[in-house]
Order: sequence, then structure tokens, then C-alpha cells
Amino acid sequence: MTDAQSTGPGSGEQLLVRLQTLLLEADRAEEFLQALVTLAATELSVPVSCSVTLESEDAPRPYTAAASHEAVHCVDRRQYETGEGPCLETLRTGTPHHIEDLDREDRFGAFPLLARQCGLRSVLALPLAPPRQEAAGALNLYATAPGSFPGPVRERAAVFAGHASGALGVALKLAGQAQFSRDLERAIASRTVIDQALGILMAQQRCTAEQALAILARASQNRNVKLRDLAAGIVTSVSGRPPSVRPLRPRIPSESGPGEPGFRPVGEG
Amino acid sequence: MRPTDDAEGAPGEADPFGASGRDFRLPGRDAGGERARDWVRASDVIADGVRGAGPEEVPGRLCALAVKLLPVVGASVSLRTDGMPVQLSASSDQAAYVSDVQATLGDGPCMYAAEIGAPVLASDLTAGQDARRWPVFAQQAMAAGVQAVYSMPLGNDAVCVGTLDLYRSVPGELTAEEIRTAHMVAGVMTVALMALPRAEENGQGEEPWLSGLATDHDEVYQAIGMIMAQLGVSADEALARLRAHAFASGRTALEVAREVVTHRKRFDRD
Repeated sequence: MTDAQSTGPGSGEQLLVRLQTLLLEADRAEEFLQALVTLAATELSVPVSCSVTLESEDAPRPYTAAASHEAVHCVDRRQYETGEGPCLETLRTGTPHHIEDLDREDRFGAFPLLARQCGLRSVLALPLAPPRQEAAGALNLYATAPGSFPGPVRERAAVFAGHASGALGVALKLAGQAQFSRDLERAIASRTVIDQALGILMAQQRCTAEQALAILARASQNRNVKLRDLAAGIVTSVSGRPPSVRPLRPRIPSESGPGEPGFRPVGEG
Repeated sequence: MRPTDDAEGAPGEADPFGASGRDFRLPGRDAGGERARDWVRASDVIADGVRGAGPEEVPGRLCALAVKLLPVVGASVSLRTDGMPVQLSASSDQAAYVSDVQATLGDGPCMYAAEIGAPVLASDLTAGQDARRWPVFAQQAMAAGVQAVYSMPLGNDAVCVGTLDLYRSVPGELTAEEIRTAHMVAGVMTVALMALPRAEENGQGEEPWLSGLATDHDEVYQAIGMIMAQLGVSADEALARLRAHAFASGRTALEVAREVVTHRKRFDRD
């Protein structure tokens, strides 16, 4: 059943290349993770289902970010509900947890029974520690046969998890930047409208910015209307239309995008 | 405060980063090993330069580091908006001024870089295509002692959130090495911007918006609001009036905005 030869030299490098390809092809972190679990499920020489559990600052409760098979979601969810299980323990401790046979497992509370009901017999959970990210993850491998993860398979899985950690770090960084761009865009738009409203009050009341802010903040409190909404109303009343919030245009691909003809920003003197 | 000329080969003033800082300016280093070592050295200089700094200090320190690592006399960082860019930090008064000039004109290499999300290297503002493309900016930048501008986009592949703008006192191309270093500083700058607080509401939280680095932007948009009220026009129109008045009176939009918000200048209906 197991194939110890698959841990031969060079397999780590091939794996890295595959992970890089996944990273380059995925547009979002979710896509990358989905491809990652699919790869994990086929990469090992034993038939497994695979999922990735993540916990981050934004989502303080662990969640399944991707699963190779629908049934895996159910097993994962039961762990999160009961707060017990090898994947959660791996997430907490950063160390691998291996269940050779669920029928003979007495750790992890109700988990062995619940997992057994889903038709599983062995489990291997490996830490995913993306470098320089405030997030932790676990790579969860489930098999329907007992003893599916002997030493060589566990070693190979550990190599995979190691490479996947680095790739996950890159994917999360990119996802974080996309979220950051959206947050910043919204924050600037909001701030701009509030400043304009302050200016309108400053002109109408012949007052300073501090006094205008006090007026606006008081009105916001009294009417229980958000400062930004109140500001937008003031701007609309003066300019005759609501404040425009034009989204920032996405970047034009540098190769041959619809840039201005005849001008190449880089490369030409 | 006017930075000294920093032409290639000039010994320069006391360099706190030692000889390693100047090595990046030497052209023609193309051996792979040397390049890798330069890369590591540049990362070390950046890591040393920002160590111990609070989030609000990092953009300013990175501007200063860009001046140390590259053959430029000044650097500034601005966030992109659909109106006036938000200048967050500059390495010198000169850099801040050239950045303001461009924001006033609403056009120039940095604004173009922000728009296309790719580096724009205007390596000669004195003549040729860069001078033809941005004649007014080129003239005003040169008057301020800047003859080349390199602008690096900040953000990710999807959206450009702003630019790191580098100013040089003499015309000249950046080497491939220097462009890589500029990209590295821009990458660290993007991460640094992500660490700034960006609560949306004004004066509501304890943490100031963007750590108080965007006060200029507040003044400009308060002035725009005042002009809207004084003339009964839209925000776009008010910004256009502010820019036009600044241009006609030989000042920056920020300078005029400060007069408006302190009630020293008002715009009247015709």
C-alpha cells in the first residue's frame, strides 16, 4: 500500500516547483489553498483526504480554508465544535499529531468516535507555519485505512508541509495586501468626505477645523448618525450630488496593457 | 534645508552606513555573487535603518534610507487618490516641495506611475521625452534642483496604493541593480504602510488616522470644502479652482489651502 521509494532525492525540489506554479496560477489565497490540498491529496502515496485549518488575527477562531473532499469539512467542523482533535492540537502546539488507528485512540475526547462515524481510520495533522505572518495553520490528512501514515509517509508529508508553509506565507501576504488596498481606499474616501464637510462648516460658520469637528461630532452623536454619513449629507447639500467615490483602477499589466501608446515608462531613456 | 548634490563618484558627507552604503552606487557590478551580496547588504541596511522605529516613523526612515542606498538627493512617499495624492513623508523640504508641485499640477511621473502601477523612470527632465511629456513639472522641478525623478509603485499586483518617489539632482539612468534596490525599498514601504492605523472616522478613535502623517491632506480637503461652500460648486470643481489659483500664483496647492483654512484667502463667486 505504501511506497517508501517516493521519498527519494529530488522529490522536494519537484514539489517546490509545483508549489511555485500553484502560487503563480492562483489569483487569490483561497484558490491557492484549494490547489494545495488537491496536490497534497495526490502527492502522498496513500489515498488521503486533506484540508487546511487556519487561524489568524482577522479570524481568531480556526476555520477550514480549503478541503480536497466535501466530507472533510464535516470532520473538521466537529473538531471546531467540540474544541478537541489532532488538527486543533497541532494548531495550538505547532507540533505534528498522528493517530495510527482511531479505533484504538484514547486522546482527543469525542473526536475519535466522531471521525470514525465519518468512515475514517487514521489521521495525520502537520503544522503550517507561514514565515513572517501572524497566522498559524495545520495541514490535515485523513485516511480510511488504519496505519496509513507509516514513518516514510510521515516524513514525506512533513517535507510537503514545510514547503507549503513558505508558499502559504506568500499567498497570505498577497491576500493581506489586497485587503489592505481596499481598506485604505475606503479610509481615504471616508476621510476626504469628512474633511470636505468640515471645510463647508468652516466657511459657513467662519470657524476653525477643530470647531467644525466639534459641531459635526455633536450632531453625529445627537442624531445618532455616523460621522461619515452626516458629512456625505453636508457635501451633497452643497454640491448638489453625493460625494463621488471612484474606485482606484486596477493596475495595468506592464507587458502590453492598454497603456498610453508611444510611451514606455521603463527601458527607454 | 537643501541636500547636497549627490552625483556619482562624489565622496558625499559622513555616511552612517559606511562604505557598504556607497557600494550600491557603483555602476557595472554584474557578477552574480556580487549582486547577491549587494542584495543582502541592502536588506541589512534597510533592516538596521528601521529597527526600533514605531509604525509612524518607518515611512520617513525608509525615505532617508532610499537616499542612502541610491544616487538620489531626496525621496517622498504618497498615497494615491482620485484627487490630491496624500503625501505621508519626505526626506527633505526639497523632496516634499517637488511632491507638492506635482500634486498641484495633477500630472507628472509619480502620478503617472500611480495610475499605471508600474515604475516610471523620468531620468532626464532637462531635455528629451520626459521634458516633453511633463514640461511644466519638469521646469518647476528643475527650478527646485531636481533633474530626474524615479517613481516606484506601492501595493500589490492588483492595486497600486501609492508611490515611492525618488529625486535626483542630475540627469541619469538607474542601473538594473539600483532599480532592484528601489523595488526592495518600495516593497518594505508597502509593508510599513500596512502597519499604519487607518480607522475611517475623524477624531473618533485614540489612534490618529495614518498616525498623523496625512495632516496636509486634511488641510487640502478642508480647503476644498470651504471653496465648495464659497462658490457653490462640486468637489472636483473646487479642487480644479484650488489648483488653478495655486498655479497662477506660483505656489503649491497646499500653500493656498493653508491660506484658505485660516480664512486668509477666500474664493468669491464672479
